[in-house]
Amino acid sequence: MKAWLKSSAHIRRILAAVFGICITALFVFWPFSPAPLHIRLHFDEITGDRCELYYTTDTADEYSGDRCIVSQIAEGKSVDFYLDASLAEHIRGLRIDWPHQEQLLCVKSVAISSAGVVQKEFNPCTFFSDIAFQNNIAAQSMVQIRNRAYIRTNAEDPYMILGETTVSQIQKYFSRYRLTRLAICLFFFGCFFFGRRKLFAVSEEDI
Amino acid sequence: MNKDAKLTHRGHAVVILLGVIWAYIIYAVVMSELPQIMSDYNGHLYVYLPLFSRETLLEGWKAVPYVMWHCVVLFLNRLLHIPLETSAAYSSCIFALFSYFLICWMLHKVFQRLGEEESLAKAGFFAFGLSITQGIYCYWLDTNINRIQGLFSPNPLYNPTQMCVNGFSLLCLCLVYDIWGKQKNDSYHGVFFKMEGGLKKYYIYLAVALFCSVVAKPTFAEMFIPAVGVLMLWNWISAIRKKNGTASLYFKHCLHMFFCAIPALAYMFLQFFSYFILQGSYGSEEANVIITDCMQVWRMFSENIILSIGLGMAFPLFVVLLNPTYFLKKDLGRLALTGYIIGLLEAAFLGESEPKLAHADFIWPMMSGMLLMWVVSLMRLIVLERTQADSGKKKFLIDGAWFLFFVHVLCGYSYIRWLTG
Repeated sequence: MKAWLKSSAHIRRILAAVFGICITALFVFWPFSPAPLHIRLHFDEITGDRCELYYTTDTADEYSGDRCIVSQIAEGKSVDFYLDASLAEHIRGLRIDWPHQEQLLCVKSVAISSAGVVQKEFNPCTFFSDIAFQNNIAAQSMVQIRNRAYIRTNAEDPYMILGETTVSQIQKYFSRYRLTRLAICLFFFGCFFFGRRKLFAVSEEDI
Repeated sequence: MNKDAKLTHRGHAVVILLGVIWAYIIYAVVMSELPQIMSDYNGHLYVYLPLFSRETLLEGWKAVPYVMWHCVVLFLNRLLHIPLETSAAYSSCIFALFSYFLICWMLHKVFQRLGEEESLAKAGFFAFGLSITQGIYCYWLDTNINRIQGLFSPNPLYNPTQMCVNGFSLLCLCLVYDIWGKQKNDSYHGVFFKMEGGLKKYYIYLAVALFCSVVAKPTFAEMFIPAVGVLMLWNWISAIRKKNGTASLYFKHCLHMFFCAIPALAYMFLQFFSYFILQGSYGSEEANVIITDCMQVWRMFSENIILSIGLGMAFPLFVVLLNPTYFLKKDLGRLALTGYIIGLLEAAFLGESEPKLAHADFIWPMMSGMLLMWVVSLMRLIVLERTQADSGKKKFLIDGAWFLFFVHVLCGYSYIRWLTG
């Protein structure tokens, strides 16, 4: 009887652990709504006041004004395109419009960020080598040794449409906060574990 | 001079020297913030302070009913004829030093309790660290996280009134802890106060400290009074359920504590009345308290609030992880944790209606809660290090907590450098 009771307590503990793991897995992998995504371009050289990002979706396949994100060029020579969370898994094409003036742009880095974390930092040479179409771009040169992409634009409507591979890659970086949720679970499990193990005791005399 | 006296003198010297450095840092921060048109210092000094003239005194009070910092600036400027900007800096230095010396005193009491009489220098170093500590900032994590607002901290150096309230917050914490001890056990000798004789004197101290905190800024009382209320209510219900006859006595204690809060609550009510009903809120006509969607306000500043909490509270959360029972069972731990949770809930669900939603004025109570968690976690870590670090594993974990503490301090140093340009 005693042995049975002992083993039943053991089994209960295992069941509780399995239940806890299942709940955690459910919480971590539950498809909660994704976080918005930022595409940030950092430049060494750029003049002009703004850049634009047009996108097409699975329901609207034309680049038009109502699917345009405008970003002013910040003091630190960077632009930040904010893609709403509702666009996750719906983007089919991306078009970057440069300032309408003749100039030689130098792109330093391309960062894709979501949920407060930089998910991917593209080498600009790789990023701008996958271009499906371009308009009024006089020349471009990828300086691998310095990780810089140089783009010479004309004054009239210079833009670049990103290739499918890059677009589908960017799609993947809409975060669903999985690591964050895992961190929450680990914290509570850790508290539970240390609390049960009584690694550090609490006595009556303690402050 | 014997060795002990020498150590005491050295301790005093260290505490004073660090205090001077701290005051200089605050002075530099204020002076670099004042010229910036959007900074809190600029707003309080050049927009609200001129309202405190004889003709528009009421308008001034209605616009900023938390007047302590402004009163000190006015005193220094109008009575002692110190230039306005310097008065603002001196005023902030006074309150920052008040908070710093109070932390020193609290830590020194903890060290004394652990049998380390000559611990002033250590207390000074830790208090200095705690005064400058900021959230862990990693520029590479997301370049868009606003360094100030995405990661909140117990030391918002950019805001004069919240820094002004910190000292009173700590005083209230100490008083409540010792009052609770005495309520439980009549022969209790306090940790922070001597607790000799009756409790009446300490109730008065608490009422005064709480009232001063509300005059400085109501944000601490908004978090602390509910936290104390919730815990005392819980204890009272537990006493009723135990049926050992202690419930009625405990109810009396609850009432006494409530009476202590009445002056603060009355002034807070007056502040809210002037702020929202008389439309004093910075002259904004339609500002009102609203219930927001969960974390709606904080989401304006951070895309990942859990990450922001983690980076802002890495050290206290690690101490909670190591010793969760302390924060669930002991009075000081429970008070700090409950305060933080209540502050977090206020930050999550309260806001002011447009156009003041982005002012995030209900995130301040959470920052006061953070301060309690920081101080209590630091005190707990000191106790753990001195009483329970008896194995390699424990030492490793405690060292990990110290490492996190000093990373926060380092981030505080880099933050001050960033702030002062």
